[in-house]
Amino acid sequence: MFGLPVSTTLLVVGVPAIWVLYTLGFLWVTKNWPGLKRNAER
Amino acid sequence: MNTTVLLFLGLYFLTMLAVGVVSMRRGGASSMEGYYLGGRNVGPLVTALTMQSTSMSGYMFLGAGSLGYTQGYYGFWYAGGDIGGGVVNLSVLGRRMRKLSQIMGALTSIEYLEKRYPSKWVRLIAAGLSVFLLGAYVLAQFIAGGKGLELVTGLSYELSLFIAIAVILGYTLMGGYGAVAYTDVVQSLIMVVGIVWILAATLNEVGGLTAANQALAELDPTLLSIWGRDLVYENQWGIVLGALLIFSIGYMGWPHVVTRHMAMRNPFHARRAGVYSTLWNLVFVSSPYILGTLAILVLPDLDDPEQAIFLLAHNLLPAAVVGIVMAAIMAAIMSTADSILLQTGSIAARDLYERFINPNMQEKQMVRVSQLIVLVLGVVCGIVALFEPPGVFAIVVFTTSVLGSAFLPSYVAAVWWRKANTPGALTSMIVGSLVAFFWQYLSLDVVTEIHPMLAGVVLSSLAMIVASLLTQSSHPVPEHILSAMEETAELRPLPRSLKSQQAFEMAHEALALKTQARTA
Repeated sequence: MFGLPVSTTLLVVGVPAIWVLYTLGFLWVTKNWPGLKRNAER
Repeated sequence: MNTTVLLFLGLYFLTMLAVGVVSMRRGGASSMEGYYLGGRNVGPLVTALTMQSTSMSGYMFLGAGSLGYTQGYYGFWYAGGDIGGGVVNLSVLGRRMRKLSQIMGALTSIEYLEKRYPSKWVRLIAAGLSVFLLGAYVLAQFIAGGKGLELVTGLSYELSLFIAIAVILGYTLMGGYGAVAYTDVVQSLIMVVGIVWILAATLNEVGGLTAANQALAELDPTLLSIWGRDLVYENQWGIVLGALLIFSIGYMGWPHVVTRHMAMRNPFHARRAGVYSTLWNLVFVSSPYILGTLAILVLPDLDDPEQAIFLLAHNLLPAAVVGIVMAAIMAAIMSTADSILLQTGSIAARDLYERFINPNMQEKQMVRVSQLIVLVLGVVCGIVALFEPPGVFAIVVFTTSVLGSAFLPSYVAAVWWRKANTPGALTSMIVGSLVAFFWQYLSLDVVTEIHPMLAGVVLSSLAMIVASLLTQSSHPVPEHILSAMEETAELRPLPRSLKSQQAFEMAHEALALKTQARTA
């Protein structure tokens, strides 16, 4: 991809993709977190 | 000296000062919690952007570009880790650290360590290490700010330095953490606009990314490799894993970054802040490394690779846009300098002066002392920066690895491991800082092919585990801390009785008395 070797493509595209999946996983795991209304937890 | 560029920079500086005035009027300097933590009233977007812009210093425009220029795509090991740094920090520490710090009434990230690991030595060692390393970092950012402004405006270095420091001190003194956080938001947006603009112009110049990579391959195919120019890092997994770690988990050990958790309005805002962090990083973080690499094609005979991004902007963009890019570079430097200046001043005031020298101050008095120390620190660093001492950047080279290795296990274990105790934290801090320092100082990374950060974090984590387990019977974790940790793990608002402990009068002195009374 983009004229890069496979290993470089994995680093340039694959690692950010892993972080996107991590973020989505974090959203999934925390979907039941309460107290998201303004000032609810102060 | 270009008038349009000056106009943009002038507008930018005035905007920063205006944010400081607004923060002051909103009570940023009226209480300790207000000055140190923005009254713990910072929303998720501001939390994410202040965390990211604080983490990304002028290095992103100077050092990252230089790494791309000299080593090609190898720099993406650092970028790859950096992209996940914010969400890892917020997901691992965010909610729990916010709750625990409020239960314990901690106002600085070093005070938080002493309250979780009760010992004056924890406070003294952590504060001393932070003030020394972060002080050097402030100095380096000031020098970079003065140099950057000198380069852009043509003004003398001395005058440029004075303007940069005066603006930073102006809004930091007026509005404290609130001013720093909200100026960081503006600065993070300027950074993104600036970097995206110059990236678009550079890609246009080189005919797109694929064409650029083909041209690079003709020059030197190893520039496209993950192992650096001439494959200098080939199969050195200890080095590249350390490069990934330094910015992905290393931020969890930086006192000025983890303070952002403590200032959130709501512990559960860590969730949205994590998403915003990833989005911002996806746009911003890789760009300086790509630009540095592409600069090989546009500016093949560059004497100083650190000038790569600046010269790309200068050569490829119209004057008005160059002004935005220059403001972006100043924003990257200033957004880090202000946070570290405030944090270093807060640690010196709260964790050293008040804790060990004058513990009987009133709250208003303490705020003024904090402001005075920030002012003195800024002025002293400014004077030292005039002479550009060569040793400063040598210290800064150690800062990232030493801070990360020293504090990461203590911050993570503080909220996740009930057996983490005071001897464990002390041993971990000492081992982590010494290993990371000497690993780099003695160039053991060259001998062992293991990055100082990787060595430091692994050994400081082991030190935390071994020392804590060996001393469980002699130094058990106090009951009130275990209760606080249990409450921290709960997915519910803090009970009213626990919230009361954040009041100024319930600071460390009162908490210590309360603990002693319980023990008696």
